[in-house]
Parts: sequence; C-alpha cells; structure tokens
Amino acid sequence: MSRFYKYIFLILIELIVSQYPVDAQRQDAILLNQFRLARQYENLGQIEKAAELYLQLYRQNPNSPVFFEGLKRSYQYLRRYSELVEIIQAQLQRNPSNVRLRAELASVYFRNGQEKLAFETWERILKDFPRQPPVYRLVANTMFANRLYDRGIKVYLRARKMLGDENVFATELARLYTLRQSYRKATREYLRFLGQNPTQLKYVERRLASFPAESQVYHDVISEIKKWTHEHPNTLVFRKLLISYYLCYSNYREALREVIELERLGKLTDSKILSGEELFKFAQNCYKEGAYEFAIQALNQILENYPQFPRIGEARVKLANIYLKQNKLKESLACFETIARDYPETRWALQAYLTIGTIALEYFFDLNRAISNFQQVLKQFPHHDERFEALFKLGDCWVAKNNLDQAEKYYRQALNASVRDPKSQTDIRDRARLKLAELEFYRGNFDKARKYLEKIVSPGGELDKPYVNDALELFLLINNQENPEALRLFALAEQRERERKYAKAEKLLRKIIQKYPSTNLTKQALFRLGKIKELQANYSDAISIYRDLVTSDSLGTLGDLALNRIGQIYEQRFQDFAKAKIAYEEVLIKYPDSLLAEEIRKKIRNLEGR
Amino acid sequence: MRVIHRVIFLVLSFLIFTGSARAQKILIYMDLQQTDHLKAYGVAYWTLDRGVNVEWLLNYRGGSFLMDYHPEIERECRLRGVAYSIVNGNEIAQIYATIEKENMETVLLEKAPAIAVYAPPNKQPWDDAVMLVLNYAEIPFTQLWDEEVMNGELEKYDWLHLHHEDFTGQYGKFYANYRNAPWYINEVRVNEAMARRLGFKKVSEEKKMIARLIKEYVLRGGFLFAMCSATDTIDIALAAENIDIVPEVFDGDPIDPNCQQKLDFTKTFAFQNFKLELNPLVYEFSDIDIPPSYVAPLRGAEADYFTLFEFSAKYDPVPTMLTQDHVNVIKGFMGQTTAFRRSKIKKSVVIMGEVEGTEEVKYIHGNLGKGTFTFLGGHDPEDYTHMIGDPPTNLALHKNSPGYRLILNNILFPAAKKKKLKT
Repeated sequence: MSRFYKYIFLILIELIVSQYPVDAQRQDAILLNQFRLARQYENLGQIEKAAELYLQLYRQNPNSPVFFEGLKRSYQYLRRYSELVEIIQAQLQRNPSNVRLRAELASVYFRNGQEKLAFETWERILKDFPRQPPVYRLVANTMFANRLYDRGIKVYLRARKMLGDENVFATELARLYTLRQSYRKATREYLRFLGQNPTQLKYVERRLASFPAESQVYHDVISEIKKWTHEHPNTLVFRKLLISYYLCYSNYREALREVIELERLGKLTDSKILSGEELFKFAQNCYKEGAYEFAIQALNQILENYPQFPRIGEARVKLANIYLKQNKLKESLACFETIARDYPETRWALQAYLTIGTIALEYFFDLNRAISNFQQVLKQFPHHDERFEALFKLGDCWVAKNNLDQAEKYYRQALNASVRDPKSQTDIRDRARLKLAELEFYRGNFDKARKYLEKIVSPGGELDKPYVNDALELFLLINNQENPEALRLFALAEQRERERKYAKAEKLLRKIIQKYPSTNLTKQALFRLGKIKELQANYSDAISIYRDLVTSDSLGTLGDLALNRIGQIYEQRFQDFAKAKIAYEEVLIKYPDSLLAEEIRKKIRNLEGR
Repeated sequence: MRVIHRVIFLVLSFLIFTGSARAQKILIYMDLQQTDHLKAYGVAYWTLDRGVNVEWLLNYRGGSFLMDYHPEIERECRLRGVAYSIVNGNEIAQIYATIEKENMETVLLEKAPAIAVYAPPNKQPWDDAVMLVLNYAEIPFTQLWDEEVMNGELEKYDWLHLHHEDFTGQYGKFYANYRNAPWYINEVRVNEAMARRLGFKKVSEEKKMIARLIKEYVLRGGFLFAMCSATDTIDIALAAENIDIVPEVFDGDPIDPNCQQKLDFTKTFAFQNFKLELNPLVYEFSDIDIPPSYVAPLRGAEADYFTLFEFSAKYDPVPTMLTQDHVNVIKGFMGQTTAFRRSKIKKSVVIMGEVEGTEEVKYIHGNLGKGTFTFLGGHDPEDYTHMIGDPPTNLALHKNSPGYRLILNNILFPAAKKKKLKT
C-alpha cells in the first residue's frame, strides 16, 4: 500500500509542476497583448492610456528594457518629468554603470528646469569616464538634443585635452560650429578632418558649399583655408580645397595662382602626378563658366611649362576655340594652323581646316586661303559628314570669286552625294538646293530657281529648319516681282554684295530705286542699300537711307526693321543712347504690332538702366 | 453782324474743340483685348505714384483703369506693352452711363500704397509669387522680416504680404524629406539666430509674437494679403498662444499633450475648430488645408478650376475690387496650403472663390478692426505644383494670368478712397 501512495504522491507532484509552464505561457501571452495594446495607444496618440499600461507592465517586469523604454517615452511626451526621474533612477540602481541612462537622466533634469542638477550629472559622467571617447559623444549629443550647443562644444574640446588628440571629434565640432554660425571655426575643424582623411575632399567641399553665400562667411572660410595651406604647404589637399572654394565664388585669379603653385609642388612631392593635369582641369572649369581669360592663361601655362602633358593636343584645340569665342581671330588662326600641321588626319585637324577656312572666308575674305583649307577637308576626310560643310563653303568661295560655274560644281556634288548616301539628312539636300537656287537667281534664271525652291518650301517638308526662312524669302521675292528687269538688277546687286564689291552693288541698287520707283522691290533695294552703307562703315548715310525708307514705307514691313537699324547704329556705333532710344520708341509708336516690339522694349529698358 | 457771328462761331468752335481735347483720358482696358494685364496694374501704380488719380472701373471691360491723358502715361503704356486707347469726352460720358446702368462701379484710386513683403533674407529654394509679380509689374516694395516687425516698422506700410511662411516655427514641416538639405539646415540656423537675437528661447515663440504683431497691424488699419502656408499657419500661431504645439524635433521639447483642446479660435483671422497635425513627419499643419498635402492629387491640372463669385459692384465694392478679372473661372494651383476647408472658415469671412460643389474654398476676405485681410490658397497661379528647387515662373509668358490678377487686385485695393456705400 505504501508504494501505491508513493506513486499517487509522485503523480500529484508531477501534475502540479507541469501546470506551472502553462500558467507562465498564459501569463506571457497576457503581457504581450497588453504591450501590443500600449503600442497601439501610443500610435493613436492616446499617450495617457499608453502610459498606464506601460506602467503596469513595467511594475511587473522592471528588468524589461522594452517596457521601460515605452514608459520612458510616454512620460517624456506627457512631460511627467518627476515620474520619469524616478523610473530612471530606479533603473540606475539596478544598473549603475549604464552611462546612457545617466546622460538621459541629466537631460530630464534639464527639461524639468533643474538645470544645475543636470549640469552636475553630466559633469559627473565625464569625470567618471575621462578617457572614453564614446562617453564624450554621448554627453555632447544629449546636450545637443537640448539645444545646448555651446556646452556640447566645450565637451568635445575637453575630450581633446583629456585624450591628447587634437583631431578627435573634428566633424562633430564642425557641425556644432556651423549651427552656431561660427564658420571660421567650422572650417578649421573640417580642415583638421581633411588633413587626417585627404580622400574626403569632396565631402568637405560639399560641407563648405552649404555655408551661406555671404561675403563675411566667404572671407572667414578663405582666411582659414589659406592659413592652413600656408602652414602645411606640402599637404596638397588643402590647396585643392582652396582652389575649389575660390572657383565656387568665381575668384579665378586667385584660383589660378594656387593651381600654378599646386602644379609646382605636386611635381616636387610626387613625380608620378601628371603635370599639367590640374591646370587643364582648371582651364576646363573656366571655359565652362565663361572665364575665358583665365582659361587662356592656364592653357598657355601648360603649353609653355608642361610640353609632355599627355593631353596637350586637347589643350591646344581648347585654346584655339577660346580665341575664336573671344573673336581673337589671328590668335585662333595661328593655333589651328599649328594643330592642322601637327595632328594630320585627326578630328582636330578636320576642325582646324574648317575653322581656318571659315575665318578666312567670312572675316578676312582671303578666298584662296579658304579654298585651300576646305580642299584639305575633302582630301583628308573624303567620307566624313563634315565634307558637306566643306563643299558648301567651297561653293560660297567661288560665288565670292564670281565664278558661278565652279560654285555650281561643288553644290551639285553636295546634292548628288547626299542623294546617294542613305544616311545623309534631308537638310543637306535642301541646303544644296537653296544654294543652287541662289546661283540661278544670280544668273537671272528665275524659273529654274523657283523649281529648286519649291522642293524646299512645299507643304510636308521640314519647315522648321533655319535655312527654310531664306528659301521662303527668295521664293516670295521671285514670285511677287512683276518686273523681271528690276529683279535681275536686284539679284546682281546681291551677288556683288557677296563678292564684297559694295560700290558696284550700290550702283545697281540705286538704279532700281531710280528706274523702278513704284515696284515693291524699291523698298527692299533701299533697305539693302542701307545695310551696304553700314558694311562700308558709312553710318550717317545708312541712317539717312533708313529714314527715307521709313517715310516711304509707313504701312509696309520694312519700316520697323529700318528704325531698329537706326537705333542700333546710334547705340552701338555712335554711342548716342538718347537718339537710339528715340528711334526705338518710334518703332513702338508707329509699329505697335511689330515682331520686334518685345526686343525693342528690352533695349529701351536697358538704355534707361531699368 | 455776319462777321461778328462768324467770329463768335469760330471762337466757340475753338473752345469746344480744345475743351474736348482737354477732356481726353487714357483707358487701359482689362478684358481679353489687353496685351499685358499684369503690367497694366504696374502702369496704374506708376500713375498713382506720380500723383495722378486713377479710376478703377469695376466690372467694366474686365476692371479697366481710366486716368487723365498725359503723354508720359501713354509713353509708359507703350514701353511696357500695355494696350490702351485714348477716349474723348463723349466716349467718357458713355462709359459712365454704362457703369451707372450695369453692375459696375467707379472707384477712385488716390494714392500709391506703400507695400511691404514679409520674407526672410536667406534665399529659399522656392519662389514667392507675390514678389515675382510685383517685380514683373514694376511695382516697388520693401522686404522686411522679424526684426523690422519687432521694431514696429509695419506702420510705414499700407499693405503687407505673406507668402510661404510658417508662423508655427516648424520650418515649413519639411523635416521628413529635407532635414539634411543644406537649405533646410541654413533655414533652421537663420531662424534660431533671429529668435535668440530677439530674446526668445524658441523659434516657435518668436514666430507667435510676429503673428500677434501682424494681427495688431491689421487691427490698426493695415491691409494683409497672404498665400499658401502663411494663411493657415498664422491662424494656428494665433490660436496657440502660450501652448506648445511644436514637436520635439523642432524645439527640443515635447508638445503640450492637451494642446488641441487649449486652442483659442477667437484669436484667429479666418479659421476655427481646426485640428492640428502634430506628427513632424507629415507635411501638413492642420485640417484647414484641403486637399491634404500628403494625398495624391485626384483632379490634375487639366481638371482643376475654381470660380470667382460675382458681387454687386455698387453695394459690395470691396470684394468686387478683389475679384476683378477678365474670366471668372480660373485654373487651380496647388501649394502647401492649396485651399481652405469650408467648415473651418468663420462665418464672418467673405468667400470670393471656391471649387463649386466641394469643400474647397480658394479665396477669402474679411475685416479685422480697422483693417482687412485676404487669403488666397495655393503657391503659384501659373505653376500647378511648384516643387522645391523648381525654376521661377517666367511671367513674361503669362502676361494675362487671371490668377496673378487676383494678387494684383489686392495691391491696388488699399489705394481706393473709401466711398459711402449705397443704401
């Protein structure tokens, strides 16, 4: 029997013990649900209810970090600082070495208005862990969260002393100084950081670029960078930063000076550095920003001092293009000629020939030189797309030489080649047609000219191309002219103008004006005559002619153009802004619907300094 | 005797002729024939500035301007590309007769108002539609900010404009997407520095003070015009006097847990019973704004319009002035505060423009003390959704913008001589 009771007892014990896990599980489930509910309340903004639940949970499980955090958050939100202090202190009693909690406690004291206690708590933390960088960061961050920027700065500076490292917390201090608008000090910290991390140049550039664009800030930042550059001449990254900051504020002069110095030092410190590279990058920057003078200086530096620079060909082309942009034609020509000679059969040579030819044709009217360069394009680059440009220009040269047959040869070559070439674009064909139409026009073969033009201006064609306007103008001129003889004289005058035989062109135009006074060509002739006088730099005569046109063409389409020309002559040639304004205003009075009205209003405003 | 008769006849003819010549005026019409509506306001302002009165012909040809003929005014019209016609005595009489008969009125503008624009000195990555149009119309204005307001400089101005300001001190609630952007950091920096300089611990407190000073300015007779977020945030700031409604990420301490219940709507200009949006990550201040900024727009630019009410020009000249336009259905445009929820607008406020059949009210006006306020929802009338960093609207491409005319109506309104209302 006793054995029987022993077994019963054992079974009973087992039942009781096995019941415990079930209760524990049920208990866990209840806690989890309560926690979930608390989180829900928190999400819905019902923080009071959330706080009650968290408090219950916390009391049941004071060691649970999750419940503790939830309760802490709720008390923070509800500003129940006294209760918050209590629970944090209770936690600290369990875990006195928890530095984060101590810092948070100090923060709570501060928000509760107990500033003295807050500062003492932070101070004690720092004294307890004088050589732990993370502790300094923690304390500074909690101060930062309470807008105590100056104190945060002091903590970091203290850390430097205690840790014996002048460079620690550089970016943190830079950030704080930036918030305090102490840009010089912020820059100093960024430089300190950069000195330790030279690959972070872009990062530091971005930080400095985010400073306000004010002159005092610029002055502070530049002074600091210059100081560091001077004190650490061999740390090239400081100079690079200085250059980039100068460029940010378009101070090209100073930037160039530094770039030249950088090149010199670069060579001294590391022979593997590509000499000329910094100057080239600087030149490219200046070119992009339109600071051509400085780009020229930088490129000339490369050509003079770094002849072994691998990209010297590019540098030369860039220089030639900049001269062209600045209208320094002689210098540009000289550069391009050197390029064509030194780099035959390259794309640079192609560009050089075309550019030399165009300058020779359009600016110097040196037709033989132009022809010889365009011929080089055809010879060296017979299959290149640019050959069409050379063909058109060759035709133009021969027109200027009064050899229409030779000109026709080139235009026709362009037309035939573009028809044969499936890859060639429609505008090449149409341009060739326009050129051929012009030739027929000069020859007096108006019907032939019309046939060429009809192909360009027909509906369904590409009417948005720039040459289409010229084609339309010529087409209308031919179609609307009742007097073929007058038209022939007009065509001849235009041809003489292209030959730059202005006296002959003038004679022909005057003949039209005298002999055919009532044709619609007369006014066009008058306008053209005015333009010829301008080309001859005879501006007073030009004005007089335009005036006559205005008087005789009050309802026509040329009066506003003529007045505009008068205004431009007074403005640009005579610098007589008062008379220029009068002429422009006359456009607005007499031709209020003129297409030029907006442009002329802008001109008047500019003249009035508005 | 015949000779005498002849002489008398000639003299009388001469007098009549020169008399009618002297009676010539310039009419700047504002209907669809006008070439540049926006610059026309500029010409009117320019004329007033030179001491010449301008008559605003409410509802006549879109709200035209009539002034005495001077060759300088004619020149200025030509220069600015503003269409006009010269009208003689007979035509003028006909115009007045038409005005008398129809729902039209003549308002005399006597003085070019002194205009101030409240805007921070730092460059912001969006554009102020009011400053854009003032510059385009060549109407001079002074830009001022918190320090000037605190120093009482508002008194020098007849008209004050607010645009995209945030008077709640939450930096426009751009925190979620832009808190690391350099412009945002600079914004915080500049505002905190100003708050400190003016003796405030928090930006939100400083801005509330500014809001109160602006309200006092209106109470004493100032004219206030606000657009976009300035409209609701100023009212929120006024209602939240002595209450912390700003989350911790902005001012370092949590909000007042009962802030919603403590709002005092008696202190606001136009809105009441609104619910604050307290989440710092939500790009919205309250439920005044409709549709909410965080909801994708349902209509789209092509289908978004609002309608201007037509008021009685003779009995309600003020809202009539403010709604002068050459069309009465205007393209909608969004903003941080796009439109105002009808149910949140006080009953005393006049609704001048709305999206018909919806809760959306676009344009409102009210009196406060001796002054008035006008609120227009949306950021830029010619940019449906103006985003951060977008280029400024080129008003030369929108010379006839009906939306921008609403802004300019407000600028001329303070110049009007107060007329005894018809009874």
